[in-house]
Amino acid sequence: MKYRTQIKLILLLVLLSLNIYSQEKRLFGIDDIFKFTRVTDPQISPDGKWIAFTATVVCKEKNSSNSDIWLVSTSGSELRQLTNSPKSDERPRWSPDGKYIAFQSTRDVAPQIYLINVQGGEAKKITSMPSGTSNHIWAPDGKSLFFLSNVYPDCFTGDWSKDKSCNEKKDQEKSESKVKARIFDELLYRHWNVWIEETRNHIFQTELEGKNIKQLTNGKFTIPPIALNGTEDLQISPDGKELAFSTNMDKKLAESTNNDIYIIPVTGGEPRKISVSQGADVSPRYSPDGKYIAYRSQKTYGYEADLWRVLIYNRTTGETKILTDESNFDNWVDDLVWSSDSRKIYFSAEVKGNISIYSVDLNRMVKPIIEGPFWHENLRIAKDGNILTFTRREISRPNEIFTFDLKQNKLNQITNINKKFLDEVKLAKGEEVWFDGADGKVHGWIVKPPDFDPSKKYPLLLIIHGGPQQMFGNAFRADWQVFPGAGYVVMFTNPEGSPGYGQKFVEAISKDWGGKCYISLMKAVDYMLATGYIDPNRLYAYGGSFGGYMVNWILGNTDRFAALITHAGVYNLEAMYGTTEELWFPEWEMGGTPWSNPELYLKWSPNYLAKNFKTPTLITHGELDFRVPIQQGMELFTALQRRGIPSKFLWFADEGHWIMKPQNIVLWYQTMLDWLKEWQK
Amino acid sequence: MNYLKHLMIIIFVISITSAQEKRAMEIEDMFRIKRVSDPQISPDGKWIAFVVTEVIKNENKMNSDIYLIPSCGGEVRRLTTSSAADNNPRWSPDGKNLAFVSTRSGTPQIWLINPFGGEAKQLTDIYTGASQPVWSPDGKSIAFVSSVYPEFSEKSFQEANELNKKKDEERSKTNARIINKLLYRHWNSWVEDKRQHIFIISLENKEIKNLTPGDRDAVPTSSTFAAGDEFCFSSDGKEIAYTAAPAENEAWNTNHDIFTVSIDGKTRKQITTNPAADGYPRYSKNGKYIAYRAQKTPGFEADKWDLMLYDRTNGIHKNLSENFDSWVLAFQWSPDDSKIFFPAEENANQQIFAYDFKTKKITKIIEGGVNADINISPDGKFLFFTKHTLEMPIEIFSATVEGKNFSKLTSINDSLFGNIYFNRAESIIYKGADDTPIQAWLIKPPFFDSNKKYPLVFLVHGGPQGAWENGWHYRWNPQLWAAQGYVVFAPNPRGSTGFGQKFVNEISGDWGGKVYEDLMKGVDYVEKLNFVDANQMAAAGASYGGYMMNWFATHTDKFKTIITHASIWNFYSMYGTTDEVWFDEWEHSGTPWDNPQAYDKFSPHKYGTNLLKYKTPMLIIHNELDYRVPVTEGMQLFTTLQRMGIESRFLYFPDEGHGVLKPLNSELWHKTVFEWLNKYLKK
Repeated sequence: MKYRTQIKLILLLVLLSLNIYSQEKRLFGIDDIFKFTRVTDPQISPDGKWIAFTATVVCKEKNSSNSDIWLVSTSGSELRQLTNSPKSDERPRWSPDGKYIAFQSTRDVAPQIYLINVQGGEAKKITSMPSGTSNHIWAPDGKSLFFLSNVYPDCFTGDWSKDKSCNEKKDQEKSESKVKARIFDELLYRHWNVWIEETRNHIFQTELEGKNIKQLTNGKFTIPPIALNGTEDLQISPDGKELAFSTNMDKKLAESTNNDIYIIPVTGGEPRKISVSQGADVSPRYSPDGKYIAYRSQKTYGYEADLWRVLIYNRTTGETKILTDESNFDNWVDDLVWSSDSRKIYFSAEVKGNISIYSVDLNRMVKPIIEGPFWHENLRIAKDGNILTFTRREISRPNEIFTFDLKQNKLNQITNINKKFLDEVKLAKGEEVWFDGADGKVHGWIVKPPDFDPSKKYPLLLIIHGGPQQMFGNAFRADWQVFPGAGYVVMFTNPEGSPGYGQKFVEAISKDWGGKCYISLMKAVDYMLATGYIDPNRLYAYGGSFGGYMVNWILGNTDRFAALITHAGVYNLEAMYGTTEELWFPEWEMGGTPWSNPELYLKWSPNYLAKNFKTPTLITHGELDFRVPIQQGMELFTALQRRGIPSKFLWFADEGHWIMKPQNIVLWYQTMLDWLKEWQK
Repeated sequence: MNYLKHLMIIIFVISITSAQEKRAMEIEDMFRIKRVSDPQISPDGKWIAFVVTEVIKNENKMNSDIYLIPSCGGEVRRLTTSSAADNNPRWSPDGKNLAFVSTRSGTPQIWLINPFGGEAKQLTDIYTGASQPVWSPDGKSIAFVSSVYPEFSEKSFQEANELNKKKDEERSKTNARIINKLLYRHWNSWVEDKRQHIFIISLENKEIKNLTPGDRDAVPTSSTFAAGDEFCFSSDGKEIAYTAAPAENEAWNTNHDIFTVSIDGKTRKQITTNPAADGYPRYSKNGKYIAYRAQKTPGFEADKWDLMLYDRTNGIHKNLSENFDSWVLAFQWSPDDSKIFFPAEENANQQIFAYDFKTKKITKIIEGGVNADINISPDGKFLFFTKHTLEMPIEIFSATVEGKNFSKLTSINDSLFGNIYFNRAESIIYKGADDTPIQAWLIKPPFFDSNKKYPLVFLVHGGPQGAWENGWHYRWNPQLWAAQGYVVFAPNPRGSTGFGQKFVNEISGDWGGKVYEDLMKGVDYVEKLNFVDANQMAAAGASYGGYMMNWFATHTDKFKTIITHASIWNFYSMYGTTDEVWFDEWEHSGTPWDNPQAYDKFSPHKYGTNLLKYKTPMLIIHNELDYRVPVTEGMQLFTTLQRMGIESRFLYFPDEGHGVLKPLNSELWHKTVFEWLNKYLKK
């Protein structure tokens, strides 16, 4: 009997598995990068019944993407699309009475604020700012909106009707001028992928009819600060009388991470600084009772990878209290929301490859709320304080919206927008491993091809993250699907420098770029070779930014790989220092400037190892990359070509540090796959 | 003597006409000057066709047109009037047609015009454009150059033309480039794997043929190795000789060679095998010889150019200029093959010389100023050529082939220059490193008062193998700088051309060495001049001159301010980003990984700390399309200065290359430069 039932069970399982196969799920291909919907920015309605969010679909043929605002009921039973423009509609924000959603749309080229009645009717344009708007928020009385707009500080008189024509005139003169030259008298003349003009982002207020526009701040500073900014860096107090924002007012912006929290009365006035650290202070959050402003804070000047802590500022006493630091929570805090009773703060944080949700109370007691092999982002809380909402993703699943009922301790998946996609495509799953690194255990993930057969030998692609202070983990990412989909076993790790394993581990990378981190990565490869299913003749490594640096370092230190791919990689540290925009970064990482501490610039620069280069290398780089300028890639290419080492340079004239445009993404992945296929030992 | 007499007359005439109301030169004058170039004598010797380029400032562009003047002098006639660029006029052998290159149909194409009446007609309509027309001796066809994808070049012209177009259209869909080898961009534009080939078009049936298909350029792609049209027909019209760029490793190889190809394209023959550069082939009229230019040292772009003779009957190559210690530039055979005329630099002038086959000697024919573009009348009696000096933009001159009866043919800019007051540049000589004599130009400001003390601007030229010549400069014009109220000093230190090859050679591997000493001794020299205020000196330079500015900033406190244009700051990043890698490898004796000591020794960035020592305020000018010295060199210097808190400003042109060419950009350049000087130099 027993025997029979077992046979039956096996038969049943075989039939079931045949059934799954009969659906003929396809492997994840390059085009699949554009076939799922990207869900973000969930916002709970004041009555708690609805969640508005943004959904973005990519149109590869048009080389563009389109975002729209959707509504889903908090029970998950009802889903509808609210806006329907071919242009991007983003940032839904509920009016305090719940009747309207203010959102930002590029229907009229520059992003402007639109208002839509949730019950029906088309959207109405509110603002016509010359450079567009960003970060809009509602006044608690629902009568006006505050937002940021990029303006010429020189135009400011306080009378927007005059200032607006001044701004427009300057823009026009600029676009009509045949002379495109620029004169710089200070650094940070370009940033990330744009040239910095004279304009700065400042706070504006508008009535709902778009009338009585007022500029509330002015000056050479910009809101939010250009780097290390938080999310939602403009906030209004519960009584509607005060605004809080973060900016950096230092004179030498290229050297400074010293962002601060400022407050001004909503009627305007001199901003007053309320934060005290020499590091970055961002993401101000008023407590519902109006007593506190919480914010995220780093301690150290010039250290962009310092521990992110939660601080609270007491608005009555002016005292500041540290709620989290290395003593009670030694990892980076991301999003913050207050509990409705103003006694607690819920926050998301990067811990051991996950982004989990925690709470900390005013007595500094930290408690985990939601953990697990996921990334929880876009954390929000309902007005009554009972429901948290957020997006969740994992290696084998893109973002969906979830809620967590704090009273019942219950997690609910609210959207399943990518169900069809998940039914059609075989997504690779990750296996977490801990291996012996340079100095103790290091966390890593193996992503095998979906049809993995342990009796076969597979090529290994080691993917190295950027930062270097960034965390890889349990998140859906295109590269962790495309390469396994094409038959590669992917391994990615969090070696020295990665956050999520305590601040000491983060600090281990600085001044030691090619040191322990490199050893740990090589040990990751050893670990993979020991599994038995990796073909030692087909080892590959790929990384972007610092990951690109590490690939270049690998090129100069080992010939164990059959081929390498370096994206936006640092090659010549001295030249990098002189051409990148955020100087605090190399100064921290190399312990000074090239003239004050030349030894480390020489020690860790791959360009001095050119004599050792042997491995075929594909270089990819964007011309608008002002973080790691493309000349870094050019220098490497010249050395490889001159030394007769097989090499190819994929040059994107219209991309910055990352490849963003759909057709460029296709070319990028195709070129990478072709390159790997070309080489084996 | 003769020359001097004529010059005296010119100066006399100028001074009479301008006696009324003379003024100093102003920036605007740079845009008023009409630029004369490319004179071409007609087959009957009666006419000179030439190009005049005018500045259309408010449109931020230039416009060239073709003009005619009788060779005996007389009224200038404008032949083309298009608002597009018309260039390269070339007479048909019967003198009835002028071929020229025009962009009037959108891309550069070859057009034909009857110089004695009628409008121009378009001859070519090629997707990839057509340039450098050269007539066959029988006048039935024209050879020209077009830049095409090599993979289609073996196909019929029509098919290849379509495929070139299709490939570009396909490429334009993304802004991505896939680069597989070096020299992927050059000077200020992208090469995109295209090759420059020589084509021939029949005037009868308009049939076009690619004569040099394959993955190799049939003309030098670097102007360093080109002296003019780098190909020509044999006198019997049966073949074309041309200068092929290196077959491989183009970025670090200078091995250009001369080939011939029959005009049916079937027979190709390599003429030179010299591992260094050869070029500028020209057949003798009797067809017995091909004369050409050659360097001896592979990889050394500033090696001496010799005049070579290849005997087509016995295949023997002979050096005609072994004992002549200057570079032979674009030469011309005399009609009877008895002489070869050529310009060459000598002591900061560019003279015209002649090699005489009878005496086997080289003699000087024309001297003073910068002389070039030699044309010889069909009867062999007269030379026509362009000349310019530090006080006169280019005009066309003539003289007998013996250098007599020197006369000025055109007066394109006379009326403008009649009003401008200059002090003639004085050529001085001082002792440099090892007491070697160093020549320099000293230019006093207009309305100079010898009782006063003047601030001084010290100009260092680029190259480094170049020279401040007695020639007109459209960009770095020493007279315009002097007109701002400065004494200008422009020395020709080691590395400068025109003072013998040994002097040229002594800069390589020694960028901040003897040449720096030469320059500092020049500073000593000017400091002692009683009309110079030694506490009010500035220095400025571009390219290598910019490098020297950065070397100054890290090695001397002599200057109140320094202006550095398109300068090199970091030899390592320069090596890795420049287009012509052979240059850096020669100048620093290897690659950065084979010879890092040489890269460390003279790279200004290795002396960065010294900036803090001297704290000299600097104006940096650098442009996005500069692929020779990429903009990131200037950026590194600016970052360093700013981070150190040293006064500095960066003028950046997104739409210019190594030099600033567009009129409005040039105006801003001059204004910014002079404002900066005025801020730091007290007059």
